[in-house]
Amino acid sequence: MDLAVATRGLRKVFGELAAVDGIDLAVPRGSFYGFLGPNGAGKSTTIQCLTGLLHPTAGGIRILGLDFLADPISVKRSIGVMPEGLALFDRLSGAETLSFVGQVHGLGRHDLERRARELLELMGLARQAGDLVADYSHGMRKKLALAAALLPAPRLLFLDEPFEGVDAVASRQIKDLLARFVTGGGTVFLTSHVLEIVERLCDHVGVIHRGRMVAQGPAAGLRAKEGGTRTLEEVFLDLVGAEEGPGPALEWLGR
Amino acid sequence: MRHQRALAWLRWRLLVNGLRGSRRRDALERISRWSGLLAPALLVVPLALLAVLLAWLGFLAGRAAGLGGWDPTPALWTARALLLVVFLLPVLIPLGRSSQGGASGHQRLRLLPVPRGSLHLVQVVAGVSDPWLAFVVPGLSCFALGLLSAGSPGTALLALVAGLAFVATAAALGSLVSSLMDWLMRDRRRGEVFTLVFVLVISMAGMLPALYGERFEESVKERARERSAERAEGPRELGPLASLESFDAGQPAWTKALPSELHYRALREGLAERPGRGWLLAGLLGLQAAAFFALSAAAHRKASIASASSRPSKRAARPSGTRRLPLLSPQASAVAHVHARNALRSVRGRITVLLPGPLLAFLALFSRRMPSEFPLGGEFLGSNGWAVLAFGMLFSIYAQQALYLNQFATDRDGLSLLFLAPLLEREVLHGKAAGGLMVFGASTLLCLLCAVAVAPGGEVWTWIAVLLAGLSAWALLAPAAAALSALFPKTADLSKTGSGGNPHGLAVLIGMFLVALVAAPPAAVIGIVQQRMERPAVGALLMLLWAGVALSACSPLLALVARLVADRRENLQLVARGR
Repeated sequence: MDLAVATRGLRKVFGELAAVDGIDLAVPRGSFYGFLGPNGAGKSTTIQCLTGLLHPTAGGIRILGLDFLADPISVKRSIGVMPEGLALFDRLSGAETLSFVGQVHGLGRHDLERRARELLELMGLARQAGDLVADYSHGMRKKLALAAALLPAPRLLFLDEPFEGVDAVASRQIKDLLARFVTGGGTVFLTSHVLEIVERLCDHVGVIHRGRMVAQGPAAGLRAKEGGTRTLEEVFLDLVGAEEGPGPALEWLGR
Repeated sequence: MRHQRALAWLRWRLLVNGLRGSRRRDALERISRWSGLLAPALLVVPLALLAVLLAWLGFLAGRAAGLGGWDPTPALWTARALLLVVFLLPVLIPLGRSSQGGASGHQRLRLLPVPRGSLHLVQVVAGVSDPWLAFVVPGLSCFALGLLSAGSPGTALLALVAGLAFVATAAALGSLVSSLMDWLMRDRRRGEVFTLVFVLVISMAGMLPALYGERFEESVKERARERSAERAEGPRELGPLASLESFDAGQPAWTKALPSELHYRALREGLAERPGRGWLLAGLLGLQAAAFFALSAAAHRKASIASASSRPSKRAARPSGTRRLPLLSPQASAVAHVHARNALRSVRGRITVLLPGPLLAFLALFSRRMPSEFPLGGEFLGSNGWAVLAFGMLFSIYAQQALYLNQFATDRDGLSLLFLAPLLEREVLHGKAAGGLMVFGASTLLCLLCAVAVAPGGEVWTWIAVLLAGLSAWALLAPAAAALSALFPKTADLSKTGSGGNPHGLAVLIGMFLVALVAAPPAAVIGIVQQRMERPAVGALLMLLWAGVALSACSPLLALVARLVADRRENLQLVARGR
């Protein structure tokens, strides 16, 4: 299988905590890959390892057929990333942020201006393009970070919780845009807590729990486990929620 | 009470957890973090010792005053002077803290089901625990204890009440100023403008009387005449008490209403066995405390309900590329522009550009008017514009330490954008060095304009030599600054002018020596050429050669530092994001 992202025994340790504990990812090219897991499971740490923000303690990473650890610059030219912290300069305006990203990716002036203008319009940021990012709301920052990730026209997108804090209209536009991106041959690697979004958008799913991969494969295959067609939520709860138990009843709540 | 207890616990946990930090640190980072605690410890330990000493002295003074046979005036005057300073600090510190970007962090607390009055009370009580107020409390209490142990319970009670009323007044006043500052700085832009104006005005204000007041100049001369006359006449015969009384008589009437004065007078009356007048003055002090408390409650309420305003930006909204800089790749040029913009749009960066030139120009004018009052030979600075420029550039390079000694962490989340981009570490470092030079260049340009304005003339070659000296110093400093930034990153915000925006203490310490080191050779060359030779063009030529050497060394040195940055990039971005 032609893989956009492939890891082998990827491990990241902080002190005594193994945030990512030997995972083997296989993200097919042209897929919309949903990376799921409960809070603190290691999703963001994995994305940060895959994009070079964190250096893995052990394991190998191949992105678009290239060894990421050996040649990170070539890989970075082909990917777009919207990380957990959004990675924006507070004291640049939205327009300047896109200009900077375009320049470091070597875009020509004409291309840069056209793409940035269209992305700002799509994200509904055209009127605030001259404002400093420091004055943006959380949702606006998120949209700008997504625009910055899309600007260089990457072949692979890493998106960490892209829909969190984004309004319904923009969310719909972004979903359509990402669907078009995948149809055009691009690959999306997305983390989200919202299982409905993943269920609707993603054709491949990976589930991480306590730093380990507990399931991976085509979404339809996971849902069709044991003969019946189940929702992704049911599959997810089976994989990560069952051992947690129902938890305390909280009888005091709602009295 | 449970609200106050919960909020006290919150403060304590925030302090402890802040010291502990997160697990995502390497060994060097942990050492760097703990060494950063050295400076606060050096401040707190002497204050604690001073508090113990004051308590002991207060007890002895109270006991001696209660037993009689000892004139308490010196002790009362010492306390009076100390309390005047302590009273002023709650006004000045919130002003300074706000200008340094310190946030009161009440936003989250306002969401809790805690009455606004309780939050206000906590703010006032927390003011008492501030070290500059807390350290006098043992002294005031022990003075009353000393009086009690000497068998003067009435005076002891008066001293205790007056002391508590003073502390309450100072704490309420501190809370009032804090709330007013919270209200004033509720919006980012307004806060930054206030900070900029505050720092510039405070820096310049001290010099204005010297420049524009004829009376000031006269008074300086008058003092000098008096000193020489006193020396000729020998020591004057004036008893200490007489001089204290003459000092009191010379004070304006309104000073009698100051809390420190009311406290002093209440104690003096009590010790002079006029308890009625003493209690009246203590009551007035209590009334002041109540008035400040009521005012601070109103200000706290206003600050709580005020919302930030927003104005449209006038910045260009059209995305377009930036100009490519000579000798740099387009990518490094983009980094340079971003680095310079980030710095110049921060309060810290603007101050470092706007302050050195005018300040040195003021100093030059000051030194020209009163050369005898100037320690380094005022005529030299006042008549040589190139020297004003040189000192301005030196001041500027020191002032910009926050920008270049913590150049990665001050990018905050933006550093992740740099590290995610297809950029080599070398390109990032070249860009940051060039961006730093752009900021230094802006500051130098203003220094040049100010220097030309106050002392034009002189050999043009000398001016050129000074500018080349600045360039060479920057070229040698940039790699070292990048290395220090990589070794000692500290989460910092350049919109803060205080410790929240400062680089790591060790980086500052080493950076100070480094600046002296890189500035010394060109300064020596210019000095020697000025003193020994009469051909300033030679100085400029030597400086051109030196600048060439420095620029040639800069790139390979940056390449060496790039390896260090590559090793430390994970830690750098974690620190930059405040993890």
